[in-house]
Amino acid sequence: MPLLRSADPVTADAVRLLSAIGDTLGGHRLGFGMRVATIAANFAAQRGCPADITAASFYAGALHAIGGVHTPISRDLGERETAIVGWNVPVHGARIVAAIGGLPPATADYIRWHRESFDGTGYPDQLRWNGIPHAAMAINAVRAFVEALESNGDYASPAEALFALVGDTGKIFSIRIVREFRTFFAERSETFEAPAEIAWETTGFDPAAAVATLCAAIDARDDRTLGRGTRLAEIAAAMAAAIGLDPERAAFAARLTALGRLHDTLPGDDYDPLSRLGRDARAADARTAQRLLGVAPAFAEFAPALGAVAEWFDGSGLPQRLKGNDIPPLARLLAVTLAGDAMDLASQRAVVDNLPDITVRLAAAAGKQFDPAMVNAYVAVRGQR
Amino acid sequence: MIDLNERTRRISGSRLADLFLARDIGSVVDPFMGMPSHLNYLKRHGIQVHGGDMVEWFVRAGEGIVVNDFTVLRDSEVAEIVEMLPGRIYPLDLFKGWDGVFFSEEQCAYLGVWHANVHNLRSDGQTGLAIVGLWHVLCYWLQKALAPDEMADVPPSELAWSYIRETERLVCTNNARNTVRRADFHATLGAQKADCVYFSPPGKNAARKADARVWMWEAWWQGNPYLNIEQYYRDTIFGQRTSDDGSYDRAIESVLAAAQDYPYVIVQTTAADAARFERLVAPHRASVETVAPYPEEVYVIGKN
Repeated sequence: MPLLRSADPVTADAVRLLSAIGDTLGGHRLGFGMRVATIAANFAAQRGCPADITAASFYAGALHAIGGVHTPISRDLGERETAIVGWNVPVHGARIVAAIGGLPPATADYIRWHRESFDGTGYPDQLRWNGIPHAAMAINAVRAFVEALESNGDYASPAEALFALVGDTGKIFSIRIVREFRTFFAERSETFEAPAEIAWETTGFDPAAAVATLCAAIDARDDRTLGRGTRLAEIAAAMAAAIGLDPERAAFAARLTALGRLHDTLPGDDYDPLSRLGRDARAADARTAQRLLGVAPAFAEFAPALGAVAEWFDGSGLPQRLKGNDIPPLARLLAVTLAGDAMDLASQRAVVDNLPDITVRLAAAAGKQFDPAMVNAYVAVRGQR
Repeated sequence: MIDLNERTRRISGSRLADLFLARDIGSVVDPFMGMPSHLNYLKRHGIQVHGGDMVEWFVRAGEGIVVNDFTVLRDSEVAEIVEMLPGRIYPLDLFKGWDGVFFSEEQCAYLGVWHANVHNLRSDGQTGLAIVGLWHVLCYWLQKALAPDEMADVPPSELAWSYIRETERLVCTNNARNTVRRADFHATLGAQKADCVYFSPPGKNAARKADARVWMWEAWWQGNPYLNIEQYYRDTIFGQRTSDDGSYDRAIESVLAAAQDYPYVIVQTTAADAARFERLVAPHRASVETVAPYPEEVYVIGKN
């Protein structure tokens, strides 16, 4: 059975999901990246760009903030250091897109240079003048425009949001790009956000692999979670095989739990996984993952399970206080694997060596926090490893 | 009207970093560095960098953003650069030659004031940062002269303030000794040892075609609005006749010969000239590889 449904809509959904990850990392509301993508593609078409440039503008607009997943979580950085770390986001984004493959060739470099400024004060390379690819600057102009549109009441209408660009003419944006964008807006003021036509066949783009790669990158940001997705996937697959669920789907869902760990701080990891104290934080992680998966229909089938990993078998969990078999089986499975991995990590880091055995603690929580069948499967799989 | 339509070559530090990373290159020399933004990027990412150029303000800028590891310009120090200080006599007429041609009378006066204030700075690092910041002001003014109604009117001191303050973020350390020198490529390459020589070759008769934003800033730094940077190159191999292919090839070959002892040489060129540079690099290197992410951005990489 294929992991995901048919081909092309899945690609679109994968891009939508990756874009939503970028939105979350960039501090924007979900859909920001796709909005930039649509307008950037329409703007490119208006300028008479060939199909590959238009398609690259679309994908670069959607994924412009994806490099944030490689920004390490650090609690000790000051404002300046944080800004400097942020300069690497476009380069990381370019490397991620190049590694994923299958997208138009220019996509990676448009992401790399979309934050360059015309006057040479942008980042990462401080390119200047016409050394900056015109399409990359166009994406930056669209990004600034959409950011202005979505600002909290600073601009009353799209026409007013144009001032966000005009004020930076000659600094961030070239005179030419601002002129072109004003013309574009004047001619398409009603349809500038109309669905874009992208004539590009994404060959070699594996949506599931791309999403899994991004999830691994999310976990790699913090040494507490480094490699967690891989560990979870292995155990989840083995457990699923033991209890009659689809191992491949269980492994993929285990990797998707990383979406909940997108926050800069990891409150879900600050508490003992069997403690009621951490329920709110774990439920918040679950909601984040569910919300992100909700933007991509092809992946939405995993959303209920991901959103319920913080539920307790006895009905005292969060967010919906689901009970027993009302909790999706995949969620019951993931709840045990997540707790087991967190306890493993805690025992490796513990300064005392008299912590109770993990299987003993999990068995004690069976029937209350966890489904006993899942705990038994976990203990059996763990015993085989 | 001044012409600013120069085709700027895209010198990308991040692209070079990717190339270096794939080849385990940890140090680099660029004998024709120009404005060394790319060296600043490489330094920020842990690569030891050395640069050289014949234009002095490029070298001064390098002292600010390449050599300098710690010194920044604080608010009070920026204030002493961008405004006239009471009690000091300024050469307000120094750039009068540009008045009415490129700039307004007020702008020319400010250029004179800044020239004096920057020359009075005691630290090389601070001088470099001020030069970089104020250069952006000059570029902004020239651009605005072309499109006066489309760019914001910003008071000179405010514009200078904002640009100089932005240079603070360029200051970083890579725990290595990085250098820049005002010298011909022979001196630069002979003075260093590194894993790689990178250069984007000067075009044919490049000094004569230098962008206004480059030569005018050298004229500002030297305090001579009539300065012609062509004289810098008169006694160098690229200053002699290089308009014909043969002499230009010989000039490039002499650079490649001087870089012979470096394990790698990377020449940045365009798709149109890639074959020429592959041909020129091949006799000097055991293997030659071409990386071409864009037609206008091609790297010919030679390895010993």
